[in-house]
Amino acid sequence: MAVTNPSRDPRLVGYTAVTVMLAIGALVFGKPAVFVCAAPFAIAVIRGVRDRAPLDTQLRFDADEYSLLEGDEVRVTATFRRRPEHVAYVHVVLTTSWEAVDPEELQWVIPPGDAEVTIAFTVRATVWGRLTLGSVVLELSTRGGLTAWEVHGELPASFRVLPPPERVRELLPPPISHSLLGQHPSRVVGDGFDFAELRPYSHGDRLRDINWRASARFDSLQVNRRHPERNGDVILLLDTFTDVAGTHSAALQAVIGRAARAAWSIAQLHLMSQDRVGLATRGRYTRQLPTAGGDRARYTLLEAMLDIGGEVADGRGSDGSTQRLRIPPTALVVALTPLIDQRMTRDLLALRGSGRTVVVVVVDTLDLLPEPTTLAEQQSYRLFGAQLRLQRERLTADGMPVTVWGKDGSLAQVVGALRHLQRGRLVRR
Amino acid sequence: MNETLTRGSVWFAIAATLCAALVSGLTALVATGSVLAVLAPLLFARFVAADFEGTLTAALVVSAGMALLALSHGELAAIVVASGGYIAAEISIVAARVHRRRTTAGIGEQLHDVAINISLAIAALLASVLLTAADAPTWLAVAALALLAAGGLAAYLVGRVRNAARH
Repeated sequence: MAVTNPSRDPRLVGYTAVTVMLAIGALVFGKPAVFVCAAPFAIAVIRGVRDRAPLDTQLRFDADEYSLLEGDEVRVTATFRRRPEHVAYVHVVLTTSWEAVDPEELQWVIPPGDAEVTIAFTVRATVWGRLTLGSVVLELSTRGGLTAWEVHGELPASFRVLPPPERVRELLPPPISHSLLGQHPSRVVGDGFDFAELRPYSHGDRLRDINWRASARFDSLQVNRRHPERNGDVILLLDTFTDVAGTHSAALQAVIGRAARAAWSIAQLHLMSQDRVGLATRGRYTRQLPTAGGDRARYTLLEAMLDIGGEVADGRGSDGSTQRLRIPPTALVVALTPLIDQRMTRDLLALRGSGRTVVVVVVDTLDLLPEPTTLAEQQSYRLFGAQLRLQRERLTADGMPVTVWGKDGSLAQVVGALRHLQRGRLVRR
Repeated sequence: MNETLTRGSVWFAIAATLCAALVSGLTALVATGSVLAVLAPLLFARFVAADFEGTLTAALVVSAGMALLALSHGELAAIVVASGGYIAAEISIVAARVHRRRTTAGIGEQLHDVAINISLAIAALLASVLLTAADAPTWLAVAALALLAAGGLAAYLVGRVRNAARH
């Protein structure tokens, strides 16, 4: 922290002016009593300017934890140095991503005493992402002094706040699996555990594959064919388009937060199942991560999600919606969108048109809007709901499984519904 | 921010502003009988709201001007007006801090300082009354001015020496 020079109290100039005016008045009018009544002003000025030396406060911060989950609390300490005769006033200004557990802990007035002072306050992360805490305003002054040392210290620590995972147990089946072993029953028939179909015995088939019951019924040898377990590509497509005002309202920020949490949960589960997972965002924040697997992909995804969370919380980003989506043709696209911006619908239809397999999770926004009170608001609310339904129907009509994720719905139910809608056909070879 | 805390600080700021305005306004009105007496209270109130140094300086200069204006009604009237301006400035600076910080935390410390400064003003007021009653000569004002200038110079030099010693 740099050395701070003192600034003057608002009274200093005024008291000096009054002292001079009354002293001149006393001389001009020959009234010594008037001069005496200027004495308090003069004494205050003399007392006030005694100490004007620069001060090195050595303001520094520390926190219990720098990696935490959304909603977790963290204890932060701020330490600074002062002269023992100084009165210290400390004001902690938090960014909107944090809230104080006890708001009174954000303001401190510390009477003269120890040279090194430590204050502590507990804050709670209200959003997830890579977040900064805020700043501290430190004012030091001497009792009766007309000079003050004011220090503005940015809380330098960057916190990694992770989203709390939504509960998902089932995986979404990718359209085409790869040769690496995984947990998805492939659409392609081959060696595996899950039964696929029966076919007549041919030369070279293994004896253990013969289905004796079916053979007895058909009166000829029949063998079981199975799905091999393979891995697949999953692309999580996140909608960060703004609302009609071109901004991210609080409701829309909440929706993006929910969608991103869901994306992270789905990604984690698929990565654990040896799938390769990629990320693409459309709208205000454009980012594309190619599909990758393993721990490296997990960390890359996590960093990207933390960045998006921080950008949404801080209102950063720009409209980069013109960027082309690069999605592998074999990947399953899981789109998480509130469907407010029609450009997202257009993008999804284009992806479907180019042969990609797309499933859509519509994050419900209606529950986040305030209850309509006037007739005009009620009509607007109905129109907005009708427009969302229309968008969903357009996607469904194009063959995309669409499910709505509301406030009270669990992500597991949503994924289950998508699996049900996405039952695919066998690919024989 | 805690709502009760914020509301408490607002009420304190309003009460302190009214107090400062009454002290400066009533003393000037009684001493001069001029409608100009309302000017300083308005400026003090504006200072609490905006916390701007220039407004406080203007309020104090107006108070000093009113004190000189009151000289035509007698020395005692001028003394009372000047003391009222000083007390109003001390109260309004506390009110402005509370208003800016939105908290009454540490208000005890600040009121303690205000009490000391007001005591100083009352002592100066009593000394002025005594001087007026004794019909003190003009040379006393000149001598006091010289002493004050010497005191200010000494304080400045002591401050310089202390600062040099620290570095």
